[in-house]
Amino acid sequence: MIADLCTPVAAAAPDAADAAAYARAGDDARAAKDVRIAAIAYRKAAALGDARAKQALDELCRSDAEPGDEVALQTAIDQIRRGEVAAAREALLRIVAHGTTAAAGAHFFLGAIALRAHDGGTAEEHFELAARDPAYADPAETMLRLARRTGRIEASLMTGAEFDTNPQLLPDTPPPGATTAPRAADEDALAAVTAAARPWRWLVVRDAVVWRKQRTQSELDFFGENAQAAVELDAGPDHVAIRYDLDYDMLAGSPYLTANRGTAAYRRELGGCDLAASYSLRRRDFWRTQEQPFTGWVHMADAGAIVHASPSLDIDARLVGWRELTEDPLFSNVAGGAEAAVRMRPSGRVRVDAMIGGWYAHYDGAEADGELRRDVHVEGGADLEVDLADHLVGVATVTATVNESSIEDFDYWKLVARLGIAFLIGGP
Amino acid sequence: MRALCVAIALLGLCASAYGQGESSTSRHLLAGVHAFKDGHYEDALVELRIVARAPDAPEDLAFYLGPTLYKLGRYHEALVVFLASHAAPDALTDFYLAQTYYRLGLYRSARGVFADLRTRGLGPALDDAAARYIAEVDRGYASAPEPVVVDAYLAQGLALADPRLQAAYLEEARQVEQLLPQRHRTDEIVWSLGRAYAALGDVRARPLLEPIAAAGGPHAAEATALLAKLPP
Repeated sequence: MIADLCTPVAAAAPDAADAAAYARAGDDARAAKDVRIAAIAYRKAAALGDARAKQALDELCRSDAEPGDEVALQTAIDQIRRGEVAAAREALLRIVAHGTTAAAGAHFFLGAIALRAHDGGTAEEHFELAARDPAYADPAETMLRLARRTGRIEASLMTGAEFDTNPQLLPDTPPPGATTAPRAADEDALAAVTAAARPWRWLVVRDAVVWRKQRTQSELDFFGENAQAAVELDAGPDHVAIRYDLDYDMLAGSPYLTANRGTAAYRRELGGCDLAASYSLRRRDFWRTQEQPFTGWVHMADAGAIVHASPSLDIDARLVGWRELTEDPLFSNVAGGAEAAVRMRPSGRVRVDAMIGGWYAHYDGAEADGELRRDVHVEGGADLEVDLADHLVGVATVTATVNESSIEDFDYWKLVARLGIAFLIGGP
Repeated sequence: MRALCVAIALLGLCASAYGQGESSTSRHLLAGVHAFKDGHYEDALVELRIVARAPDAPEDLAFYLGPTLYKLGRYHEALVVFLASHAAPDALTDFYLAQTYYRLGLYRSARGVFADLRTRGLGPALDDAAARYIAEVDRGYASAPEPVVVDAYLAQGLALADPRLQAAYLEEARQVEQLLPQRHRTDEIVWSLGRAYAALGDVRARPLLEPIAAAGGPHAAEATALLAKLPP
């Protein structure tokens, strides 16, 4: 657009006053995005000896020689979608330096990149700059809230109440008799605290504690501790994570389960969708005699795709399978099935996650009557999160589980509804 | 074409008066006029912008700046310059104003200015040109316009941020509406136009807002407040 104005400037007799007048006219025009008029004014100022005007003219010419910033912004967004984050970041920084109207968009996506790297402070700065442009004000406000909860150290406290139709069906393996005893619904108070630290970009250490106090069935009061250390490696569109988890659960104040798990996960970004797969090996050691038959190993694998259907909708579909090896072969099984999850952001303050999954399990050992156990299991749920403030989120969750077994004793269903409020903080 | 030649000649004559002094403003004004005459409108704009910033900028800068913007096809900016000018009425400047209205599709406003110019005794070349413009507009409005034309001007006016441009489009809406067989969006146009003029501190707001204030309708309080801020 201004290539004809980017030729060498012929020097005229220096005139500081006139040069300053032209430079001011150039500045005014540049501020008004009137690039040609700005370039003409700067040329005149430069010819009269204004070095700053010459520099400004050079900047305009460099910007003009590059592809339009709007085009460059779209290219950078495509790069982010393909996982080429480093290249996208460089391109976005160049757009910001040009100071054109595309700069707001560049700030927004630089914020998104920083958020992805858990650099909440940088993300916050970029989103604040993006929010000045009305076109980005709403999404930037949404992202600002996330940025204020994100950092190299993050913590959350969630408290709420649950209604559970079948609390004796504990996480992990249900205790013997849990499915045959009469079902007794109960309410409970729930508290969960999570803390995570990222001393280096590739290392994350996380600890989560859950405490559940039953209203009537105090023998099912539950305390769960999960400590995790993970190495997360990113190479462009490829993401690898190696994780170790230690679980320690207590039931009514007594040790219930200790579990160790190693996980390897891989994800590749392909633009509109990601391919993902993981494998984990878990050792479960139950403390109480009655759960000892369940002690053993679980090999678990999944593979699937995450489709980014729109900026506010992701669909995650996976095939899952596992091999459970228990001390009592009656509970050893091989299972396979599928899970699908939908993550929606219907508005800036509201997020909805919904999932449904089902699998078929084939057990190794025969029952006393010689019958082999075969289970069909279906579960689904939905989480609703509403941002109440920068650090405050309202949470509502419903989950439903149905298990149909060839052995009648293992037929059960369970419904849990939860309401809570979470406080989240992150930094620096 | 003849109109253009006459315009350039007049521009040159007027500029020479400013060229007599040695002030920086005069030099830039003269440089702008020369650039305009040579058809270097972007250079002219740079010079005239410098003049516009100067404390001793001539009152009739619109005489130079408006046509320059018009030549660059920057019709909205040109219209703002013409409408904001406090210089004494000048036939040539008004001719450019009328052409700017015409280029922006504000045909009734253009026609009004051209018709007024003809009563003020233009030279033969400009008078012929004005007559052709008027005939062109009259052909377009030989039959009553559709209400949707009013809607379009009203919508465009309300979408503009600059109150001068707003007022120009709303005036056009009002004039076109007067050609309709019945009222269409009179109240909305009058209210919006009154507000636009009031934002400019233009007393033309008064006859538009006074009936609204007196009627005691939903806009009465705001109209009263706007009237209170208007100069006497």
